[in-house]
Amino acid sequence: MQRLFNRGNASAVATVVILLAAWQIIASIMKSVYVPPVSVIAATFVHEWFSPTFGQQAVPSLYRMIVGYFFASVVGITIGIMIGSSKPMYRLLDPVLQFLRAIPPTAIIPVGILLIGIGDQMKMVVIAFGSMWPILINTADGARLVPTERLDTARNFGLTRFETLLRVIVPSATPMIAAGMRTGLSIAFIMIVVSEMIGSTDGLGYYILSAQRTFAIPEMYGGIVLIAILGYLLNTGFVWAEHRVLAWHYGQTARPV
Amino acid sequence: MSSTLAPSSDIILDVDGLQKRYSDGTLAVQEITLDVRAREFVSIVGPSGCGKTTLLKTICALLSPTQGQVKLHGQKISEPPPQMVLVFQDYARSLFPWLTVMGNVMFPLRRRKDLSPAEKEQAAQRAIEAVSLTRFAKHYPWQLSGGMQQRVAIARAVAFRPEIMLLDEPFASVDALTRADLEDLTLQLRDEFGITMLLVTHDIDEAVYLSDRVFVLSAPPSTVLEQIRIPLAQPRDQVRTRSEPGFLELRNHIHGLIGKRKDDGMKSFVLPEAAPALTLEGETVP
Repeated sequence: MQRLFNRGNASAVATVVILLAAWQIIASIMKSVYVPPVSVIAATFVHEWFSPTFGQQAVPSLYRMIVGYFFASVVGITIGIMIGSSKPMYRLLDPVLQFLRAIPPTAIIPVGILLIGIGDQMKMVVIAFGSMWPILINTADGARLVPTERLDTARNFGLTRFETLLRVIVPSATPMIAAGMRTGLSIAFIMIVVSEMIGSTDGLGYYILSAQRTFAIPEMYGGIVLIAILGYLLNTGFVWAEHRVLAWHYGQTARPV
Repeated sequence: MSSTLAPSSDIILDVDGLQKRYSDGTLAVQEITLDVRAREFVSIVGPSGCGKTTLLKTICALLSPTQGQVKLHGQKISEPPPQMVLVFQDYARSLFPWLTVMGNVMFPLRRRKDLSPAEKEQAAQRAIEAVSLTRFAKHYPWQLSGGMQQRVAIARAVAFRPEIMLLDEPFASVDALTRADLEDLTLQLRDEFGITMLLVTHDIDEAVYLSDRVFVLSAPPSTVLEQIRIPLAQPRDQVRTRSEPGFLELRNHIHGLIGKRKDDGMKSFVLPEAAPALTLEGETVP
């Protein structure tokens, strides 16, 4: 907690406070129903989200997102390692993958609705489809760019192809895999909101859209603030975990030898 | 315990008419024939670009020759054999940054099912001690200086318990003082562990200092220009050996050999003239 209030953060906090104050003042002057003051949004936020609404709306969203993201990671990393470490695999799969990745994931939602319906599964599939690509591509690059000296060393020491994959290629690729997963996380976030706006009966996306349609404007803003907070927390958590697992990578890049 | 076993006269590595052409058609190695005896220190010296790295990788079967063959103990090899280990020039690219020094040095022992984990750790510990890095066993390689990292790579090679260590310009990326230390380290390892050394370098002085025999390569596409025996006194010493008159004669001779081939399109060396008494030219090896 101490570190949140050091000098560097003081200016960041001050900027946020000034922006919020500016919003408050402008909104109070405008008196527009579409731009409620910060105070109203804050009050609505506390009222809504420290209540069962959180469990009803936020938790399903998080659940779908995490499951979809998990599958995206498993599939993306597996295929990525395969095409990154094997030239024949690359030649075989790359054209298909290049085509599929070009499809904006949002365009897949109608297909998902037709084939799977508007339940949890559709959202998970759509999230997985969207967030898989950066993970897959970064993993493939990471696997492809293992220094030949390391691969030669593994061959020299008599490692089997599988051992080389597990003990040399995958560890070498983890920094790039992590970078792909971070991007994938942002996409998963976008996809959950979009898929819930288009085909859902609950969730944060649904909540925001229905708030807009029923003119529950402060609730709408409150929902957006919640999504922002959740996204920030997830991303921060991810970066924290990444820095622990990849301590060797950050240590290495911090001191050029 | 250090037992200085003299190099034997048994040829353990036989490279015969080796040729290596890249997939794009360039001829890297035209024809190389050389041999290495047990516990010998053999250097291969030649100008830059003469395919020395390719040659070493072909010798330990990481690459396959376009023509010719490599025989280890009389057997032709087609896969990297457990008796040989290659130490790369670029230690940063060959060491594993996610493992500590101990982790890296233990890595070659993965396949040794005959050793218990405790025995593996002991073997790694011994290798780390042999290169004087005991204090840094728990460090990561990237926390260490360049010379120390190369020591880690060498310790890893030693832990593999090879018969022959191939070194690809291993000291090119370190400063001169460190290089002297590492040169002496390889001599020590040869004495202490009885490992045969095959070292590739562009540094003629280094080749003469370290070796029992030197093979001089031509400019690319490379062939063996000459094989030279180095009869300087053992054990070698950085100051004493390098001041011997024999040392200067040998190095000048080699300089002359490599410098002579200017007409082959190679960049010219600016060298002192070779000493007139080329007493070693044409000397046959017993």
